[in-house]
Amino acid sequence: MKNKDVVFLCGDYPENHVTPQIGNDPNFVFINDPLFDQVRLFDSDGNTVLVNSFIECEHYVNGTWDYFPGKNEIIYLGWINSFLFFSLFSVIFLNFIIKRRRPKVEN
Amino acid sequence: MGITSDIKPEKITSDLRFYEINTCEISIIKFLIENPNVIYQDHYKVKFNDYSLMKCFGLITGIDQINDEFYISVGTNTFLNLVYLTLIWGFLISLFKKSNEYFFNLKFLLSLLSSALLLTWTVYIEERFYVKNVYFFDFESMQYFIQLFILILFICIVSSYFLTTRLKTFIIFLPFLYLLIGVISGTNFNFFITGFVVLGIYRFLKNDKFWISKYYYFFLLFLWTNNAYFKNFYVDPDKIRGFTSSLFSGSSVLAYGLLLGFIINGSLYIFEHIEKFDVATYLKNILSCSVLILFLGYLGSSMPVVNFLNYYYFGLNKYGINRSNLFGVNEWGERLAWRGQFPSAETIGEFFGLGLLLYLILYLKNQIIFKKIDLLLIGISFIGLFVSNNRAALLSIFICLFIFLYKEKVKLKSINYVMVGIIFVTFVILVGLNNFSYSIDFLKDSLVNQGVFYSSGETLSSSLNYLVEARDSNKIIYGLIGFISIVGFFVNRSELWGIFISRYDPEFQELIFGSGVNNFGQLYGEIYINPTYSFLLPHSSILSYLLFVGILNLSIVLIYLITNIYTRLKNGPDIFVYLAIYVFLNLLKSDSLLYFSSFMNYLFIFYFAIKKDKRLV
Repeated sequence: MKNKDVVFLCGDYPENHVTPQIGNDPNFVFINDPLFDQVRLFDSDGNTVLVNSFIECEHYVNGTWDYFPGKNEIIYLGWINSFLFFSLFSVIFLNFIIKRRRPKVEN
Repeated sequence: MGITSDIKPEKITSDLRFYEINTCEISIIKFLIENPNVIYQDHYKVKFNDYSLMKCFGLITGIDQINDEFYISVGTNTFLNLVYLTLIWGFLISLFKKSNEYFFNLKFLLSLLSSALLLTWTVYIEERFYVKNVYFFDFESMQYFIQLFILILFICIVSSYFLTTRLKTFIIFLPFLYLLIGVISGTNFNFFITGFVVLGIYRFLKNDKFWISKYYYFFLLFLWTNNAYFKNFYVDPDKIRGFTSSLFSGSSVLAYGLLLGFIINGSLYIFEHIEKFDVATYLKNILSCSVLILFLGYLGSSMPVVNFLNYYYFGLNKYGINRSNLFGVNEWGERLAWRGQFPSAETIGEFFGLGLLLYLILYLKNQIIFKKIDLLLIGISFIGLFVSNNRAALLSIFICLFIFLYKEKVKLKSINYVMVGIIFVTFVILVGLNNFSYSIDFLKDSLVNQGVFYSSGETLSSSLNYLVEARDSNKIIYGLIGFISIVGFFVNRSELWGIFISRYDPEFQELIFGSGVNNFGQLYGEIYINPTYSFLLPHSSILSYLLFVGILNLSIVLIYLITNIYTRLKNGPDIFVYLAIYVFLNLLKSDSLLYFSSFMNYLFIFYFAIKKDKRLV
């Protein structure tokens, strides 16, 4: 299955791409792909790494080197939305309570 | 990084390395304290950068130097703009007194949800516009869709809340829409439109009422959508942002058709709920707004920071003018139009003129008493009209005054002759004596000649083709075109209408029924013409609506308007009839119906001009 972060950071998956089982194999060697434009990846602590092939890029992105500015924007928007609606409903609820507690004036 | 950064700003010089390294570190306030000259020196341009992270909101995201000018980019974020401006404008409107209680029921909830859905849909349709303005938005992700929908729902709730709780008095404050335009930075929608759409849908659901036959409108929507199905033309909305689509495609034509339909329906809902309408207060608001627009426009034109704040907080379609000389002339000695902070000099000129005309009529009818302060307000409005260089508005004031005097005030024949004389002399002065020296043949062909001049020569538009043929074979219809051409020449519209003709390429169905409302994508994208000096609109609301709704619908609307206004004029007109004539004359050569502020104001004027209403005070 395509990983959106991989597509965003490394570009589209090559045709007939099969992700190799690298695991934690210390002897695995990534071969440079001359057709692949070098990409700089970041992790959430700001560390950086340069990758030279799609396979290498995909491996790193899947291994938490998937940070890019804007990645969390939608999460922040979620918080903002929650805050807005929480405030809105609180105001409506308080208004409702205040109106109920106010003594009715008889004509 | 961000607002908590402890990096101190530096003085701005041609060495901009500091600001290139430290992006998103220095707040605009700290920057201005260190560089106070940016506030008032006009070689600094402060611009918003909507395409930035939420963390960079209100921080300097970069400074560039181009020749002698410095461009200071301040980070904003489209999502935060939506939230922040909604809250600010909501607060501002809350300062106006409530006229009635908020109502809420199942149909209103449905209206809110469907409005939010419709508006969210427009964002998805106009992806090409938004990818430039929203920092990383995944249009294929459900999570993004839901968050955007919830945010737009919130805006709909706030906007409709303030509209519904001020239903009975809202109309009095219509002139303020020229000051607070309400377009949210980085988006293609207007805060006020959301409320109108909610009310429009509510009126439709609750009362099953639509402003025209709903079947006919849905038939038109079907025709327009079907016609645009395989087309895809993009146009940068520029100064009409917020009330026009940036894309001509099937879904965009359908969405904007629905939007405009519900906006008009919503405005009728508001008009129906007015209890009384005080014309004097309406006039007072027009004059106060005129003063504020001129004052803030002048401040903005001379102080970069005010220009930048005006744009953001008043929701302007585009930045205010930066020429602080109100009476500037070009190299040929022609006066240059000054628009202040409004996107169009012509439309704001009409607004100033509207205030003047209304004041004069009310004064002559003894419905207002002259006060010394009026002299100042009228004087400022006149300066506004003068610097906007809208000569047609000035001439229309005279024409409407003449009709008014003829109908209501003065029965002396000599006064009529004097008025005709004044109108004639004004016309000659405004047009310019030298323009009368051209031959009739030249004037008659000027429109088509301009169209041919701007056409690239490779593909002629069908309208230009037809007109060239009509000219060459001396068809009777060319007599009418010749007349329009002469009028166009005298009101300085030959070139602009010629450009429209060189672009307008309708098929038969498009000519009859139009190609969809508030959409210029096809007009600007279909036919390639020679480059023009800027983004030029058709400069006639009649031409714009010919494109939108076609010759059949346009003719019906025009005949309906003209006959109704004429009937009202014959049978005891009220003040709105004169205002409607003024507006109608101006719309012939202005784009005012493309701006939400003037669209709503004029809709209201026509509504009351056609309908004799006892609610007018």
